[in-house]
Formats: sequence, C-alpha cells, structure tokens
Amino acid sequence: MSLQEVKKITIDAKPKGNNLHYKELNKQIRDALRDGHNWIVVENVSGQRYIGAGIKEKVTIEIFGDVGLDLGAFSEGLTIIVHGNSEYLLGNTLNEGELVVYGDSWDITGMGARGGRIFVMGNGGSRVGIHMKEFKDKKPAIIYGGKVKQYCGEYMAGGLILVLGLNFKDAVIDTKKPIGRDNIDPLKVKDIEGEIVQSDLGGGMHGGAIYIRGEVPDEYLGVYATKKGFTEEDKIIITPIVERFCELFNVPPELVWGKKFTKIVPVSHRPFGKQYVTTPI
Amino acid sequence: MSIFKSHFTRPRILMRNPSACGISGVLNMDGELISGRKIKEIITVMTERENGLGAGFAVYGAFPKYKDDYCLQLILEDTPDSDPAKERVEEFLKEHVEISKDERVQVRQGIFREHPTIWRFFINPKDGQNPDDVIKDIAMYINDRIDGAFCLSCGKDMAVFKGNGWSHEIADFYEIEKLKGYMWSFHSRFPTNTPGWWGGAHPFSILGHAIIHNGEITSYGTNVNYLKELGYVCKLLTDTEVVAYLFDFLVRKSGYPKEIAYEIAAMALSPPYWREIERMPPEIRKWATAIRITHRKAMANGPFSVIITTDYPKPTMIGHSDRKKLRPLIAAVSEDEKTFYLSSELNAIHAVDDTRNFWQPDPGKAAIATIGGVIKKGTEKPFENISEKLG
Amino acid sequence: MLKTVPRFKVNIDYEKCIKCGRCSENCTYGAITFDREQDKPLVKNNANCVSCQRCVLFCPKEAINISQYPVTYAPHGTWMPYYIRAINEQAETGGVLLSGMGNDMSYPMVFDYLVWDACQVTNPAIDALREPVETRTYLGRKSKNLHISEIEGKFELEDLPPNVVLSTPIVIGHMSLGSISYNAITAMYRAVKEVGTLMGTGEGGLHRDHYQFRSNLIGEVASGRFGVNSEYLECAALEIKIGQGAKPGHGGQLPGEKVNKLISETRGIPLGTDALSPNPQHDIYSIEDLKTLIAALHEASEYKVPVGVKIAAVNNVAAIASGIVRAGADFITIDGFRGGTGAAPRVIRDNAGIPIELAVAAVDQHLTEEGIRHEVTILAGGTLRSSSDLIKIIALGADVGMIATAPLIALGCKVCQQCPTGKCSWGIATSDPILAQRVDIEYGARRVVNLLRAWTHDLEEVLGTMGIDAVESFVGNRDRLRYLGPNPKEAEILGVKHAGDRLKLGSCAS
Repeated sequence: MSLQEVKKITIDAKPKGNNLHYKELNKQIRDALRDGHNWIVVENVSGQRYIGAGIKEKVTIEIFGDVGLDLGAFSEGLTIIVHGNSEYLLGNTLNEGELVVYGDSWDITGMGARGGRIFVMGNGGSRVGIHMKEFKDKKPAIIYGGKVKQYCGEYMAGGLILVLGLNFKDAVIDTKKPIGRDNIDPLKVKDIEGEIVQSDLGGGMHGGAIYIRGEVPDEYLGVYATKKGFTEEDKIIITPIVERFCELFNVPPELVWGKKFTKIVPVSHRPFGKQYVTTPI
Repeated sequence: MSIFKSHFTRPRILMRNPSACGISGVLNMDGELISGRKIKEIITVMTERENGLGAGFAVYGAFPKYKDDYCLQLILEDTPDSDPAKERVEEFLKEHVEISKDERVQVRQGIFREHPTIWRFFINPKDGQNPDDVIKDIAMYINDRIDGAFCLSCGKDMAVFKGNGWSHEIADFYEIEKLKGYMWSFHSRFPTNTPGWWGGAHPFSILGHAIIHNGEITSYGTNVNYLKELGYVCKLLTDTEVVAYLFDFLVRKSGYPKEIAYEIAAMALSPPYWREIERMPPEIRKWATAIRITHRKAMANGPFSVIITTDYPKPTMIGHSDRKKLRPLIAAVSEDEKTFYLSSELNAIHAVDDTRNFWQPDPGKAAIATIGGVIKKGTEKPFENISEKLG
Repeated sequence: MLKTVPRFKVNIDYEKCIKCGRCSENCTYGAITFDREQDKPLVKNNANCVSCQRCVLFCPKEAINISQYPVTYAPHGTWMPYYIRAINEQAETGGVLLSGMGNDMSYPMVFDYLVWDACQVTNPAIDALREPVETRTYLGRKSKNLHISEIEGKFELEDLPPNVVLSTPIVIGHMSLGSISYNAITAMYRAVKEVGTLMGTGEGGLHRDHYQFRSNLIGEVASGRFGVNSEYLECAALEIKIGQGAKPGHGGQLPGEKVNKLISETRGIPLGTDALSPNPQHDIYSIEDLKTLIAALHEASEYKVPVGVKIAAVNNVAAIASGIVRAGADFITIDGFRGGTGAAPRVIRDNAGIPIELAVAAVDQHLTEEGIRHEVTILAGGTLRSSSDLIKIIALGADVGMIATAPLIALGCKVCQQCPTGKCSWGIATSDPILAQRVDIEYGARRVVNLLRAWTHDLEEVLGTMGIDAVESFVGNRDRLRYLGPNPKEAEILGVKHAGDRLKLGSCAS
C-alpha cells in the first residue's frame, strides 16, 4: 500500500464574520472532496451541525471551534479531529472511521454506532454509547478521557466503552491556542477525584463490554448489567484502544494502567425474555 | 377583526402547544448592566432550534427610574365592537393600583406586517394586602377576563418582550440594542402543533420570575390541577406557564425560608428517584421524602430544560433539566468569574465569551447563580451546599 | 313446585371418562354424583350446576363440558329469561334474591369509552424496562405545605402526617374472613406483604394468625365492629366503612351457620350466632359524627396510622367526599356500583350507585376546585378488570386502584356468583375448612403476587409510552385521556376531551 499524497484545503466557516449555515459548510466540504482533497481543515466553526454526515470517503476533516450536534453522523470511514467541543449526538449511527474531540462532548454519543472509534478527551453526558452494536469484525468503541453521566452504555448490544477518569484541566500548555496533542503536557494529566460514572450504567445491556477505570459502586449498575473480573485477556482487548488514546492525547500509558479497571458486562443476551408472555387469551 | 390579527392575544379554540426550542440566559454576578447588543449575538446563533413562530427575552434592571414600581407590560389588541383594550385595562387598574406612569413601548416599524400595541404601566397596589399577591391576581385577571389584553410581565425593574417571529426579528422589533440589564434570558421557539400566538412565546413571567423552556411537560394535567388548588389560573395554552406558577408558589407564596427555598423548589420540580432518596443520609432523606410527598403534584415530568430568572429574594438565575436528561443544557462562567451563562448549546455562549469554564449540570439537578456568585453548579449531591443549615 | 329450566347442562363423554370420580368429588353444588352401582359419574341435577367449571378443569380426560341448557325461550325483547327466572324464584320463596360478586347487568362500561395518549416526536417515550418509572405511592394525608421552623440557625422540618408506603398504586380491597376462606385470605395477605402493598381486612376482624400481616393491612371499622380490639388498631391504616359499592346503604349479615369456631374467634362472637352489620354506623348519623369517629380512631391509634373512610359511589359522591376530607379523613376509598360482595340483595347490587369512573372524576375535580385534593389519598375500585382500567382510573383522579375480584380470579374464582351459598367449589367464598383446603396458600400467593407485579409492569410500560416517569404525575392527568363513546355529556363530566377534538374543555387543560 502506497502512502497517499496529502492534499490539504482550508475552509473558513465564518467568512466575513458571518457563520456559514451547515448546509453551505457541508457543501463546501463535499466540493473539496470531489476536487480530490483528502485533508480538509475547517476553521472558525461555531455550532454547525451534521458536519461530515454520511461521508464515505476515507479522508480527514480537521475542525477548529465547537461543532454542533450529529458530527460525523452515518459516516463510514472518515477521520474527524475537533480542536474544540462537540454538542450531543457525536457519531450518531457511525459506521466506520475515527472521531477525535479535544474537548467535551455531551449526551448520546455514538448512539447506535455500528463501527468506528470515538475518542473524547474530556467529559461526556447522559446515554453515551446507547445501543451500540457489533457484527462480525465491526466493533465500535467509545473512549472518554474524563467522566460520563447516567445511562452510559444503555441497552448496548455490542462494542466497547472505556471511561478513563482523567483530568486534562491543568495539562493544556497554552490555553489561548487550540487544544491538540502538542498542546498537552503529559506530566500534568491527573486522575479525576470522585466518581466518574453515574447511575444506570449499562442498563438493559445485552452485548459488548464497558470498562471503567477505577471502582464502580454497585448501586450505579443498571438493570441486567453486572461486574466481572478484569483479566489479562481484557487488557489485551483494550490495549490497542488505550494506546491510541494515549497517542492522540499525549497521555503516558503507565498513568492509565496505574489504576485497575472495572469491567461491566450484560447478565444475559436476552435480559427481558421473561417479561412478556404470548399465551392466547 | 382579521383572522390574521387574532394571534396577538389568546386564540379561543386552540389547544396547548408543546414546543422544542433554544434557550439561553446571562447574569452579571456583580450586578453590572449588559447591553442588549451583546445579547443579540447569543440569541441569533441558535437559529437551528427555532422555526420563526416565536421568540422572546426577559431583561432585569431595565427601569432604574421606576425600580420600586411593578412594571405591567402588556400586549393590546383592539376589537372593533368595544372600547380600546388599553382603556379597559386602565379602568380596571385604577380601581386597584396607583399608576406612576404609563407609556407605549417603542418598537421598530417595518419588521412585521402587523403587530399589536405594546404598552407598559408602572404601578403599585393601593394599600393593605400583600402587594405581590395583588399584582399576581391582577395579571391573572387581565389574561383571563379582559379581551384583547395580555400581560407579558408584571415584575419590578424587569420586563418581558416577546412575539411571533424569528429571534432576530423580535430582537430588532423591540430594539434590544437600546436595552440594558444585569440579567437576561431569551428563547427561540419551535412550536409544533399550531401556529404560535404572541402571548404563547416565551418567557412566561409572573411577578419577578420569568421562565423559558425547551421541551414538553407531560404532567401538565396534574400540575394544572395542583395550581388550580393553589389559586393559579392556567390560561395561556402552553405547558411552560405551569413551571412559572409552580416556581412562584414554591419560592415565594409558600413562605419557605429564603435560604433554602430554591433548593426546595428545584427538588419539588425534579425530585430524586426514590432509590436515590433511600441512599441519602437520614437527615437529608427526611427533607427529600417530605418535599416529594407534599409537593408530589408539582413534579414536572417529561423532557425539559428550563431557565428560571427571578428577583426573589434577590436576582438569581437557575438552569434545570429533567431527571431523565432528555433536553440539553450547558452552564458556564466567564474567565473573570463575573458572568454566568446558561444555554442549550455551548456555541451560543462561545459566540460572546470563549470561556473554558463550562460544564453540563447533572440530570435533574439545578445550576444556580445569583448576585455575588455561583451557588450551585448542579453537579453536587442534593442539599450538599446547605446541609449544615438543616436540622 | 313450578319448575324452570336449568341454566346449564353438564355433558359427560363416557367414551373418554375413566370413572375416576374427580368430577363428583369436586362438585359442591350437587350437579354431579358418582353412582356406585353403575360405577360412573352421573349428572344428578343440571339445575344445580352453576358453571363453576371445577369438574371441567379437574377431569383428567377432558371428558366434561358445560353448555347452556339447550332450550330456546320464546323470543322476547323485554321478558328475557333473567326476569322470568327471578319472578319464579320470588314467587316460589317470597324472599329477597341474594347474589355474590358485582353487578352483572350489562350497563355501558365507561372505561371502554376511554383511550389514552402516547408520546410522538415532541416528547420521547421512556423505556420503562431500562430506565426508572416509579410507581411508589404514599397513602395518607399530605400537608398543604412543609412546616419549617428556624431553631438556632438551623431549619427544622416538622414530621409529616402518617403515611403508608405502597410499592405500587394497587391495593386489594376489603374481604373479610368468613366471606372468604382462611386459605384464600392468607394467600392474599402473603401476596400484599411480598409486593409491599396493602389489603383490607373487611369487617370481620383479624385472626390471631394474621397479626403478622398488620403492617400490610387496612383494618376496617364497620358498623358491626367485629374484632376491633387493641391489636387490630395496630394495622397499617384504619378505615371506617360507610358503604360498599355492591350494596350502598345496606349492611350485611353473616348467617349463624357460617359462624364456626374460626369465625367466632376472629369476630369475637359465640359459635353459630348471626353476625349482623347494621345498615348505618349507629354512631354516625351525620358528618359531624363522622368527624368524631375519625378523631376517636386517630386518638385510639395514637396518630400513628392514617384513618380513612370508605363510601359507595352514589349520586352526591363529590360533595360527600369533600365533607369527609373536612371531617379529617386521611384517605377516601370510593367503591363503584359494580363492586363485588360476598352477599347482597340483587335489587340493590344491580341498581344502586354510580360507576366508579364518573365518581372518581367528579370527586377529583370537586376536591381540586375546593383546593383540598392534594391533601388526601383517593383509593378507587369496583370493577378494575384489567391494568387498563387501573391506568384509566388513576388518570381520572385516583391515587390508588383497589382490586378484589381480580385477585379472587387469580385464586381460581370463575365469577359464578354463588358466594352467599358458602359452597364455593374453589374453596374461596366459604367458611368450610375442608373446602378451604382447595386453595393452596403458597401457590395462591404466588399467583396473586404475579398478578400485582404484571399489572405494575403494565402501568410502568404505559407511563413510559406517555413520557411520565413517576405515577404521581399521572394522577388526575385527564389531559392524557380521550373519550371515544356516544355521549358528550359523559366526557364533560369526566373532564376528558373527545378523541380528535382540538377544543379545550374546562378542566382537562384550561
């Protein structure tokens, strides 16, 4: 496989001080793709939605600013890097690719994802990884560097969620500059104090696994989710993802491995099998 | 009266109108005035969250000259077969209050093909009785009984400006850039079932409280019954007004100690689950149980995020989402720690302030800031910050 | 004697019959006997068959079926068989016709004219399986406001009035030992204890064996005052029985022949005497007397438990309920005109009172207008046939649904209405200790638990589809109901909009 030639283009999402509508912004991105560009930089993004939605090409979109909801929704093979934050529904129904956010991304991240990986440096909201699923070699993964809120991995049917509980607040070297790998001081990444997950963790999950770095109180387990011992095999499974995370966010791997993971798995593949009866009446 | 005009005041045969919208709020915690020009930038950034059928804003600190009077701000629509609505309102007011001043609210022409008259009265109850209760009853009477008049707001040193249109149109119509206030909330609306009407836009306001809301209250019927018991009349064809009245009841009318009234109100509107209450330390559990049982019909169910601004007992802004967390809400404080923001989306805050001090309040928990600083980020345990005050 | 034709016909298929005799052993009504000479079961008297289905279900070979007696009455739209039979019976005996269970006339069922709302787009449905939908309910008086005082810089909260926690807004209604058997009542007591809800003791006192269930019982104080001793006053709640849906204005009598050792011990009366419950409570001739009795019970129970009042749904139910709240009741139980009974005169059971749906809606709206609704708990029953009826009665304004026939069906009852005979072949409505053995307490309790849990699941699922995650936000939420029946007046009384109507009705969503 030969290295692809890099063809870079920069799009300003706020020309002359006015925010581009997402429709126009996405059109410019698609035009750039059609012109053979494979590295599209978008600057001055301010809440535009649906960026990269449905794109199949294996190219890179690098974004400066805060993106709106549904970033990379339905896409299949894109690499998206956000130097900023993302609203909710990041990677909605993602098929393939890698989404990286150097900031926070709140609710419903990776809803129904069928493949690909989502890396978020900071914190998440509710229902992260809800109803992710896997099929054969397609196994989506969501990794949060910080903490998440309730219903993480709700009725998850496959794939992996990792929550690392790391605090990057003091690790940003120059706060005036966009956050990227080079702007993170690995020695100043710290553990978050206190809980990094909330209630109903894995509620109704029936596939996949959730790995939480540190302890998880029993009362936070959702219905039909259970804790299982973290084994060497688990470590082998998550190592490539953890290593990629460390590479993206300039985190020393030994910091991540320095705390024990808790593994959450489904009790059953058919958790509510007995709740319904079909006897004719 | 043209059919078109009928949407200025309450339509007689429309049903309640659920909506999903963009909300934001700004509070200068030093009490310094913020220009409407800055607010307009925030208002107009979330256009994806509206559909042009309603927008509005509340501003506090707008009338320093008359800050001890209640400002009754009204939408007036004249019907041909009776006296002008303004005269009917004035006649009614004269019976019950002293009017310090009244004036036509300046609006920019050419934005709407037709628009109602906006008028404000600065008033004070004559004597006796609790002045807040008198003003509340006056506002409710006007909305319920005086045809062609609708009360937008009736607080002191604050007013609500709203109408049927896109947020930028409403901002321009009311000449927002000429206004100044230390606290603002604003709303762009996406109503779903029927055309909006001028009074149906947010904020909903009663006395010094103004509420903006994104979502739908599924417990509406139960809440309305409760409010009826408590003497509030729900006539505005929208679910949001119940939150305004419940809030007024819980923080003011109930007479609960001011130090803990917000906590009680927030917990009543969106209580912890029983399973969480069971896990609380006994002294907190006692309060949570009592609040949930006693005010069980005040619980607002369904997806919502709301921003409540109030001047009672002092200027305060509260952001609150439902406990299932079905609507977005982000809170932020400026780097100089002077300004508190709440918004559906972070980008609206970042449009005016690139602060890195932002967070998402926990599901069902209130973020509260007041003059002097942030009281609660909404990420604490229930009653954490006031547990020392509870016996 | 002038005979009438039997109602049912028992058919035995002798090709399948293995002559095991189970049918005749199980038949308590004398319809089937076992003929020793012919060595096979015989239909002795079809007129005795009540279609309790006991023989059918106990035949190991499916050799028995019951059919309607194959005779055709001369067609007549007015003089239907029911009336002919009733006249014959009264002409022969000169007596008042008694029956058991609830009203069996085919009045329109208001529940069947109601449908409910669901979330679409503007609000998301909640997945009740995976996310909490709360059904916990507190039975008892609620304060208008919290009472908070400041003492040395700390806020003190006054204790709430006593409330009982129910895990689900379903209770089992009052059925007394005597009207139902020891095994049946024990099975249901165990079930409510396991589920975490309540059952009414009925008016027949509390057997010593059942003291252990008191924290799950509502002790009924009825006009007969049977078994109301100091132990009894320690039930989770106390309830003054003014009326019963099946027989408003009528008391009751447990005939002496049913007062065996067990019943006599429990009720505290001699063996074999009639146990009479007078029509009125003779210490309550008006509302202020009710206030006195409520206060007396509060005092006697040291204000530790809620004290309620049970009334039948009658014409003026809303105003009566209001008076009851003002008289100091902590909860009101309303029993609709289809409510069941162990024995009631047919003429009363089938005609007196009003449907529970209309009664609850009227009471809820009336108390709301008077500003006192949220201070009390409303329990309502009298034909909640299914979880859907339960859900509708809550939306119409009840805090808690009360069921009694449904758990009896769970124990085997086939609603043959023979309760007053004491011959219940299922061992439920009888004081005969041998027949009572037919209810397996363990298994019966399991089935009642299952029923309560299944209805609770149904409620959770439905609340979820309406975007409501706690049942208290559904109580009186008529806004989420729609009317789909023939009578707009009925919808108006219910405070429910007609399906598809965009017009607003007064109280449902002003």
